[in-house]
This record gives sequence, structure tokens and C-alpha cells, in this order.
Amino acid sequence: MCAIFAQFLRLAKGVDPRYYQLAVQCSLLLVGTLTLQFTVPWWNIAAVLATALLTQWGFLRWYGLPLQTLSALNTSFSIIILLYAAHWGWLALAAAISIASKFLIRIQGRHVFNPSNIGIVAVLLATDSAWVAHGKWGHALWLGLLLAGFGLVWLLGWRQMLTSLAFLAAYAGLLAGRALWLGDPWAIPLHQLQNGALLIFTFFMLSDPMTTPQSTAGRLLFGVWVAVLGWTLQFRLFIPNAFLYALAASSPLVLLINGRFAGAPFHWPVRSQT
Amino acid sequence: MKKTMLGLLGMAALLGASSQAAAFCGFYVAKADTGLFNESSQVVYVRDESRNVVTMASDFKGDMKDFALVVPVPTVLQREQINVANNATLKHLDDYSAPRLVEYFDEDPCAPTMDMAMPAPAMMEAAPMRGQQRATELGVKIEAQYTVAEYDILLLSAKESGGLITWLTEQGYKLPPGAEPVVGSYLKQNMKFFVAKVNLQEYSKSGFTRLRPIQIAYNNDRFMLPIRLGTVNAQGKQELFVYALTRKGRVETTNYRTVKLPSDLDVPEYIKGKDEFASFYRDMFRTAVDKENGKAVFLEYAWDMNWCDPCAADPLSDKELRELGVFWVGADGGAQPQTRGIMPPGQGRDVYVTRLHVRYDRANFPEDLMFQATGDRENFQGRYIIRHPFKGEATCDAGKQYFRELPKRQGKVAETLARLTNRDVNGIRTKMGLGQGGSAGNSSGGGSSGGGDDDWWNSMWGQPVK
Repeated sequence: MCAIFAQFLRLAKGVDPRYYQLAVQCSLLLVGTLTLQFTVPWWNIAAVLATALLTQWGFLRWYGLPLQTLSALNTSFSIIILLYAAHWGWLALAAAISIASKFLIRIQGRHVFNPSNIGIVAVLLATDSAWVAHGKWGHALWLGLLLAGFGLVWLLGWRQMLTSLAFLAAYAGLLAGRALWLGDPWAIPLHQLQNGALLIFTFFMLSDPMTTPQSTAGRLLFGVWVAVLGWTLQFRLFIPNAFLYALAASSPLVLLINGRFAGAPFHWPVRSQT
Repeated sequence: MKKTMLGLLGMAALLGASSQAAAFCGFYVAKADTGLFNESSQVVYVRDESRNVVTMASDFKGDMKDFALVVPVPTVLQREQINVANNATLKHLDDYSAPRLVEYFDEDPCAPTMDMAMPAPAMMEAAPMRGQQRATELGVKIEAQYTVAEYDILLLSAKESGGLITWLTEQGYKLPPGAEPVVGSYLKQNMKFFVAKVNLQEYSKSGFTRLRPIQIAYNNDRFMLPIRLGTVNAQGKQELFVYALTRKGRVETTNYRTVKLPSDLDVPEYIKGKDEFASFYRDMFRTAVDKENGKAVFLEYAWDMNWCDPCAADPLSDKELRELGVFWVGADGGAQPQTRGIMPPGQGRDVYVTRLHVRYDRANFPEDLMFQATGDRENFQGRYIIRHPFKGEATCDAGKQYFRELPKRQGKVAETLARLTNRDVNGIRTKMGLGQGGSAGNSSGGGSSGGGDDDWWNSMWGQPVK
């Protein structure tokens, strides 16, 4: 199994990591549907994909840029596997906000917010009819998710993924520290760490190199900060979806961090053309 | 020392008890098996914004002087925040939301008409302190004490868990070994302990033969039930039913998977027999738990409280809902009994009920149950269907076709039941009157026999040539 995965990674090396992310996202959707009772109606998927791609197409055309779809697909599948809503319209709205934010909320030539993150958070704040089902992943997939996450580390390099790694290490440390302070058994922080939604957030949302700091030190700082804020929201203020809110609230800080710790701007290795 | 039954429920309930403690939300000191799920706890959790009303009930059947309940609560409760509910109201909610068996009667295939579903009986039941000075010495503070109906209630805070455990032990509550770190964890989270035992004088005056559920109301951002105290003994699994009542929609756990029970499935006719449905449901639930490796919370019912279809019991009245803590309905106290049967949704009360069933232990449920209310208002119910075959004569072509296909249908029902309950399929077929190899025992009306998928040729040429 691991050998097959390693072979896959060797073949994937050099390919745009967004393809890898897309493959993982589709696999998660498939595994969830087949084994974990995910109920994602086809019209939800269609609504998100159609809205995201149309919005992307509209803005690119408006700005006279060549059509690119890969990032929009990544964003769409992030929304599809994380966000639920009583009506597909909310999902479409999340997709529209996500893509629009890339074009409309820009400072110093970079978009400020992680697209799928801001789309999901905006809809969560706007309505009671949408929610993130943190529990739906259970705890059986954690090893596979961790493996898939480190696959992305392999493809992008640990420096590029330092935000995710720092977040995970800091969050694990905070959970362990809390357990130590409370005298809780290790089973509790381990159970909290094995949450599928947390690992998906860590490796497939927080990892976006376009919206995280440009320098190694900046990424380290940012990852730790998001962990501290997320932990505080979760365990001190008891706010559900804490790490999603923590990332959205912290994203503007990336500009400040980039000002303090200089680094090279990131560009995806392959720009998909259609 | 007084016997203690120790029940721990989310808000962190602990029941004090006999030589061993039993968890409020589940584990009970052994008693006669009379309910569907013995030794179970039921919690009604009303939640809106940060307002919480929690009603806790257990099927305690021991000596009343042995009963004790210890529950962590987020704040020192005032007298007005504590109440008791009627068992009948909780029973009504249980009946309303219980998994149900329905039956259909196949129509004469030669005169096809509309199907009418009739609900069969639902599976009804899921079945002033001394020692103030000593408390001070041990770092325990009696924050408040009340007598509420048949209960004497204490609200305790403590500097450290050891002192609290010692004090409770000296007062006759025998906590299980291993409780101290859990109590300590709750204390460090600034939680207080709600301790209730039966005031025998008030109980005898009340005229009730069963303890009534205790209710507490409080403001807190945490939507959770403390179950950890109930697992410290590790004496097997605990059974807990949670009825969540919200304005928004279905409630699910955020730190464990919430899984829908298998539903809307055909079961054999004999399941209608005495105790058969209860037995079926127990086996099916156990199989579902095993399939999830003991790590899931199961959804048994999710519905708008305005109606039901089919109704195992009428929806609760406004008066009953208010009694359970649904503070936003029927402030005028009107009863508004609902009509049994199909009613259009979206009228009247904004109350959505979610029934969750969890079988938990320490290994698979290390954390307390954390919940969230979702925006999902799609209906779900545990519903199992008996389709009675047509018993009359049917000699038309459609009738012949019907009787040819009937054994195959019944064979599938047997396989479904075997899969759901992990029972032996041949035993099921025997009870259904089907042959072991797939042939039907009887099929009035002249249809040919043969039931399994392998008998595909039965429907190819129609009746055998004579």
C-alpha cells in the first residue's frame, strides 16, 4: 500500500500539486460516500462547480486573463467536502464568495483570504442553514489523511508546507498541554487530533501557498498563531468551527508578516490552460 | 455506608450507589431486565443559543435511599433553575420518537389499488447536609442546597478533586476507583458538582412510584453532555438516549460520527410477534454498533415536532414541551394537543426533535459528547416494514406473476434481516416458512415456488406446461 503510494508520489513529482490535491479531494468524497454515509446530492456538487467555474471565468474575462480552472476546482471540492447546507444556494454562494474574494480582496498584488476558507466562513456567519460536520469523518481515516497530507509535503517541500506543519505541531502541543493540566488521559488529545476535518483543514486548506506568508519564519509564526487562536476559540470560548474562523481572522496578518519577514512570492508551477 | 449508585451524565452526572457506582447515562447497577435496553439513561436536551435545559432520567429500580446523582454543571444553580418533570412526559417523547414497525397488506394483484400504511405498535421503550465544617476542612464548598420535590440537592465546588471525593465518600457516596482524575478535570474547567439524592420523606409524600426526571436550566456556550464519569468503572458499555430539542434542525455530535440507523427496510411478518420487534431492534442496534467498531452515535429520529408519519404517538403538546424546557413555545400555557397522523409541516411550533442513541465505553468514547445544531430539517425515522402477502386467489396474469415473484421477495427480506441483525439466514427462512434453499413454504393462489436470485428461470416461461 505504502509502496504504491510512494510510487504514485514519484510519478506525481513535478506535476502541479493542485492535481494531487484534487485527486485527494475526489478520493475523500468517494470514500466518504461509499463508507461513511456522506450524503452529498449531485446537485450540490453541480451548483458549487458551476458557480465557481462561472465566477472564475467571469472575472478572468473581465480582467483579460487566460482561463485557469485548477484552483477553482480545488476551492470547489474543499467546499463540497467540508460545507453542508439545507439548500444548494448557500453552497453556491460560498463558491461565489470564494472565487470573487481572489479578485476583489487584493492587497499588494495578492489575494488576502484563503478562497474556500472565506467562502465557508462567510456563509456560516450569514445563515443557520449551513454547517460544517466535523464529526462526519470519524477517526478511522486519520492515518490515510495524515499520509495524504505528508504526500503534499513531499510534493511542495517542507518549507512551503511549514504553515501546516507548524499549525499541527502547535495545536498538538496545546492539546497535550491542556490534557496534562487537566490530568486527562492521552486518549483525549489523541482523539481530538485524529479528527478528519482538522487534518483536512491542516493539509488541504491551510497549506495554500498563495495566502500564507512568503518566508520560512513567517510561515512558522503564522501556523503557530492560527493554532493558538483556533485553540482559544475552541476551548476557551467554545466556538464550533474554531480553526476555520481562526484562519479567516488571521489571514490579513499575512501582509504584516510578509512586511516583517521578506520572502519570494509563490507561483504555481503549472498554469492550466483551457 | 449507604449504598450508592453512581450515575454520571453529561452535565456530568454521577449517581451515587451501592457497592458499585453506575453511570447516569448508561450503566446501571444490575437489575431485572424489563426494558428494551436495560440500564439506560435518557436525557432531554433543549438548546437555543446559549440557553440550555437538561432533563435527566434513568430507569433506577433499586431502593430509593440508594439513589444518588452526581453531575458536573457549569455554574452554581439557583433554586429556580432546578425542577422535576413527569415520567409520563418523557415517556411520551420516547414513544413519539421511537423506531417503529409499520405494516402493509399487499392488495389483490388482479385489482391493483392504493397502498395504505398502518402503523403497527411502535417499540415503545427503548426501552440539608451535615458536615459543613468537614467540607471546609477538605476544601469543599457547599455553594447551595435545596430540596426540590423528592430530591435533596447540593451544589458543590472544591479546590481539588481529592477533597471532594473524600467528602462525598464520607457522606455515603461511593465513587468508583478512577473517578478522581475525571472529577479533577471538571473542577479545573471551573465546573461545579450537582449532587442529588432522594428525600425519603418527600418521596413518600409525593405518591409516585418512580423517581421523576431532574431538570436543570442554565446559560452556557458549551453544547455538551459529560459522559466521562460514567465510564470510569469500565464495567461494560453504557446506554444513553439523547432527545435534543432545538429551533434550528437536526443535532449531531461534532467529536464523534453521527450515523443514521438502517431504516425503511422490509422485515418478515413474524417480527410483529410478541417481543420479536424488540429482539430485532436490539440485534440490529448491536450489529450497527459493531459495524462502526463501537465508535458512532446513532440517529434514530429527526423530525419537526408539528407532525409525524406514521405516528408512533402523537406529537407533544405545548404544555408538555414547556415542561421539558422548550421555553419558546406556548407561553400562554395552552395544551394544543396534536392530531395523530399526517399533518402538514411548518405550522405552529418551531421545535425540531433529534433522537440519538449511543452505546459508549471509555475506550471508544474518551471525550464528553459535544454537539451542534445543524440547519438540516430533513426528516428521518427508524422505520421497519412488514408487507403481508395477498392471501386470496389471483388467477389473472398479474396474479400469477405476483405469486411467482413473492418467494423471491421473501427471500430478500430474510437476507436483509440476516444482514441487519447478524442472525443466521436459514433460521430466519425457517421462521418465515420458507425452505432452506429458497423455495416458499406456501403460496396460495397457485404461484410456482422458488425464491433465491438463482431461480431466475421461474419468471421466464410462466406456468409450467401441463
